[in-house]
Amino acid sequence: MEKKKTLLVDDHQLVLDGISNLLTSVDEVEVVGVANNGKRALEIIENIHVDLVLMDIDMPIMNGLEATAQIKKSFPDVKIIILSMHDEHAVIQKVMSLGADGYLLKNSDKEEFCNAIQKVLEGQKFFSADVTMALLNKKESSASSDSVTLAQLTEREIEILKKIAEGLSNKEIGDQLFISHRTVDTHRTNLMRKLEVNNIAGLVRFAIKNGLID
Amino acid sequence: MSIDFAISEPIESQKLTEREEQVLTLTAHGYTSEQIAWMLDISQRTVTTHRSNLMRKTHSNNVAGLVRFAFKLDLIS
Repeated sequence: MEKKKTLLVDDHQLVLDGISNLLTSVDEVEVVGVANNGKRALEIIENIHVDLVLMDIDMPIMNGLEATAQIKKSFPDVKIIILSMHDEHAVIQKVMSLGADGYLLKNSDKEEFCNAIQKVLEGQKFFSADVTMALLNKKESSASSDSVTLAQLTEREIEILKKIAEGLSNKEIGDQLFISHRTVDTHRTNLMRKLEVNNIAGLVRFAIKNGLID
Repeated sequence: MSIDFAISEPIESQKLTEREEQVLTLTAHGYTSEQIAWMLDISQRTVTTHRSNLMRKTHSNNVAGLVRFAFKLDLIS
């Protein structure tokens, strides 16, 4: 079987050396390049064929999230496994929404490393079970909206937020307030932007935390 | 006496399984079914089934209801 061409991206040489060393005993892959930031990784991928990227997140010049977004946009067939120590909801959700194929902790053992690479190369997704457990045990929500207060919302927005949190649809809210469902949708979009959340769950969490509903 | 099922805890026979609690917690944090399937290493169809059972057990009919329930059960804060 032809070995999958793999690129390692991390700004710490020791990490690059360690992963490179670990991969020498993984039959499926061969390391064809290393980069110490996302921009350099993109340059390499534009010039040589790469099947798999193992990508750090926190790097200078271009971080791993931006690099993942750009690689997936220009080279959607390239598989990307994020290697990180982050276990915050906001970071994980960002990674997932960018289209990464796997998420692994840097301190994973060899067995988990191999398992992740195999699954991702087979076209499946891999997510570190340790990170899932850490996320499940984190009670506090990710919402960056903690810094946003009710005072920053208009009366109408608060009224609509309350109804969204009660589970009403745009149409039901529109009918109750004698406005069109499109107007409700605009308010909903503005609320998400102001509260820095990207789904209904985030709006409901904010409403509960701020006492709008029980 | 009226009972507000939307904020009542599930009755004994309707207690949530560990997996259902996990799906509920991740849903309340805003993860999609596809993302939850990825994180728990189960199929998306299984996540959908868990969500349906959660809605039935918690008398919710949408994500907003599930998020309120996750707070009620102190799964998120």
